[in-house]
Amino acid sequence: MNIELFFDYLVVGLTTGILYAIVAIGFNIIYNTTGIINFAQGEFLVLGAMVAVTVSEFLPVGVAVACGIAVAAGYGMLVETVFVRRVSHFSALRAVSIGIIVALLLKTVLELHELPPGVDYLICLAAGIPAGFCLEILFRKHMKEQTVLGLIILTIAVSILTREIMLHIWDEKVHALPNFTGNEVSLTIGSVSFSPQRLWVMGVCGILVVGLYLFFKYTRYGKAMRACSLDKTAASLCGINTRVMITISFVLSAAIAALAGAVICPLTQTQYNMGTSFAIKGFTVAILGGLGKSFAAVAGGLILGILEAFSVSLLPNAFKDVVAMSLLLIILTSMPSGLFGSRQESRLKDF
Amino acid sequence: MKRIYFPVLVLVMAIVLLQLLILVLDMNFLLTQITMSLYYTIVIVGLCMLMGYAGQISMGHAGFFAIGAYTQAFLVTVNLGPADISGFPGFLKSAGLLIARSTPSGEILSFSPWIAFVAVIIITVFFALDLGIPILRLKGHYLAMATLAFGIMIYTFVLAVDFLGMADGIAGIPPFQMFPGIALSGDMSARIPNYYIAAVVLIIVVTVAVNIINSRVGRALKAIHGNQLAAESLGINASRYKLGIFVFSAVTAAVAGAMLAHYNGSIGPSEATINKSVRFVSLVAVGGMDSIWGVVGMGFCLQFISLRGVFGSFDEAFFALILVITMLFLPRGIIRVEYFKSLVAWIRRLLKK
Amino acid sequence: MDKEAFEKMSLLSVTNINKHFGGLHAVRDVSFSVTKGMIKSIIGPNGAGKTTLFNLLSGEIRPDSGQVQFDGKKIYRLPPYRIATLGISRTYQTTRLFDHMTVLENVMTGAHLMGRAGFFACALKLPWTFSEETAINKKAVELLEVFDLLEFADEVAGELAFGIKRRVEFARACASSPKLLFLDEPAAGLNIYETIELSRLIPVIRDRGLTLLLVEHDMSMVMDLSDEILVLNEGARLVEGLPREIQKNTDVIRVYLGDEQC
Repeated sequence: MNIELFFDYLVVGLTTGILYAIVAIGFNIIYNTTGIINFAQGEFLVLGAMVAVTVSEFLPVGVAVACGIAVAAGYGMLVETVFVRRVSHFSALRAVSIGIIVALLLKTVLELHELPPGVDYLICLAAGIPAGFCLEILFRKHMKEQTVLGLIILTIAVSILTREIMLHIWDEKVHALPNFTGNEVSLTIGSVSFSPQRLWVMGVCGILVVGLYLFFKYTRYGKAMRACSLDKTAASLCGINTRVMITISFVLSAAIAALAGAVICPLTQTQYNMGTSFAIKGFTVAILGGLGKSFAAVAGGLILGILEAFSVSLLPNAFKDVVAMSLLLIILTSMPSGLFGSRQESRLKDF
Repeated sequence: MKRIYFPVLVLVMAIVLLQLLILVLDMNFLLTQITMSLYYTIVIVGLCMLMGYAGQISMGHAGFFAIGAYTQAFLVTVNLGPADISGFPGFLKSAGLLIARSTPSGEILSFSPWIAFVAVIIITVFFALDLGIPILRLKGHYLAMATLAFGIMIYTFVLAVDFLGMADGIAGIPPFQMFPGIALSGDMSARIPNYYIAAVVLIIVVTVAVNIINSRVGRALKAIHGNQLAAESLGINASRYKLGIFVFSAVTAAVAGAMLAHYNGSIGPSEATINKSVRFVSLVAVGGMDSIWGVVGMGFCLQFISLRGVFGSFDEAFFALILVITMLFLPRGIIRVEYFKSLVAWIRRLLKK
Repeated sequence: MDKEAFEKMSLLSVTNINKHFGGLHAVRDVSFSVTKGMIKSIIGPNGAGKTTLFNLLSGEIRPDSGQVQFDGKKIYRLPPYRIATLGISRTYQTTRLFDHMTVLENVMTGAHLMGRAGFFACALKLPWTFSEETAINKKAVELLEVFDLLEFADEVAGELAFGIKRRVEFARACASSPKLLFLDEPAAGLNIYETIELSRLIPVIRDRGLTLLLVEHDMSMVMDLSDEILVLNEGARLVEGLPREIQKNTDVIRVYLGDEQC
């Protein structure tokens, strides 16, 4: 392998690596405040990219990206409020959301073509929303029985649900955003050339990582979230509204994932089912760094990105995912606490 | 003691009645999808033992299903040479271990389905042990992720590898001549015998499950699920029991996969996807994680409905939604006696007003 | 009496066992022994390392150094299930019942070691497993009788009152006919009637052939029942001896009540 190829692989590795790191940081943020792994993290990334693609068709790219972030952030808040929050008091929002999804499914199952348009939607809503409320009323007291594992399965299910909804709103084709600032090589270091989009990715993600670091270290909200992750009860005794912190953590994770997704979209395109792959690799990276340790994830991400990029020279392209999976299995079986985590700390964690 | 077998008897009767009913209504075409649903139900019985009784999650069970199906499919379709070969292969052929098949390119030798079946079990046990020993130490989301990673690796492998057909999978799988006169295949004229073949295997698996549940091993598994430390203080070697039930559930899935491969005549990578694994988990969750009968009933019905295409392109979304609702509101499954009781109590209260 | 002969008479002999948790030296060089048929209690103020000691002996935590011999065998650093097979059983400070199983099933699980049926034997319901199951069932019912729990046999364990749960755990721990039984604060959370009942049961269990090692705070129970008492303070052995000696020992009094004149 000549030196040019080496640096090419390195650059690709760094780009995807920092992306995985952002997904992993998102995992860590949510894990730190709630103790669950939010498997839908990957879908936030894809959602941001998809919305950006659609909006970019009639608005400038910058606005499109902002819309993508906004929609993803809103969806993150919805996911948290409806699906994750373990409260057993009545939640109308949850009842309605479930009702709407049930109604949509009813519509596909029952074929009511002879009616004027729109009426079939109304009928299904009329059936679905009460069903949602029934479930809410009858069974909400069982929500307390939820286990952490149940919540993980729940987020996996939510991720699949999100993916299928995205499939039906968009389609199964691959979409791409245009390059933010064109495609002529803009930076050349030695023999390696960086396309402008790559610089965007590295730049945006780099700023994001630094920004998050500063946020958590120095701002009031950042410190409040760190307090929540260390000891929720103590934090609430200090006057921190832990519920709001949890919602913020979801919104923040979704937003950064969406931004990352939008920024890499011109390079890797986006497809409705890309989220799963990012989620698993992001999880691998989070574990590699040590679950909950946000910034060790950056190291982990770069390691995985580079490993994957270089693996193309050894293994056929179809086996690329196997690299991440093998890494995950190796880490889980040999050092589940990660590179920077501590053995005793992870043993104390309650799964 | 015999009363634990009472539901098995009910299951047998239900199976026979169903078949007769379909015959009477002249809807024999439904038997194909029913038989397929039976095979998937076999998978989820094994998974229910693992998840509900032993409390270990597996998000990659479609991987074991695929290992079974692909191993069987490959071995019975692999070209070991022309059919009129002599010497050692000829000897094996006359011993019935190799079978001649006619293909467009002439008569060739492949492994007999029984040999392939034995190989499926050996290979699956090998995989289950290799995976289980390191990862069953993990709990909660670590275990979920590790099994998920396993599932993805299997899927990537079967999709990428040439001799397993890549995206097309393996087709042209011959019938499985199980016993004289009984052949497992997708032959339209043999729908009824094939229905019973699947049913018999399901009954055997369910009986084994019932036996295990109501035995010393079953108590040990429930104990491990309830409180692993306390179980170990009573002399229960948790690692060994978890591994045992993991292998059992893996072999069950693989056997179902191998037989379904013969029934469908083909196998493709779509049987190894994450979606399939999540579907298995949904079916177990909905049936009541630790209720074999709930799982058999609900699992069979839902899978059948899905195969009938009732949900169209929303099939995956439907199962995801079911899983969401179950996990949110009914974390211990839909078929639970307590829910019926609370429902009845609620209705009573309404009626009193 | 020389060391070897002494060790032969002891059912359990612990020598210089140590455990650190990071910077905390939780158990320091503790040595003691338990003779067969004895009821021995370990007492000490909170934080003295009593439960840690139990966890070290039952295998849930691994000691840093030392030696533990049980019934002539070295059990140092064996996993908990192996130690149970050798004849040690225990109860827990916070009752660890199998909440979703019935009381009878809990106790039958306690008798797990009475059986040999493995996966294949159970899956195929081989004939010899029947007599095994009957024997386990019989043992469990017998224990439920001893512990006055027959009326709760088919109740789900998780829904019972706390005092009943404690008894179930005690019964479960006896089900494997252990040689040595560790009781971790058995009287904690019990009311006066339940404590009296417990004090009645402990010698009954000892008379069935078990040796008992207790960690307990209820002093009257400890003084009444114990043949010997070991006092721990800040992880180290303070003093060991007969109950009446311990009651008068000024070090013990100081450690519990402080340095004032009593």
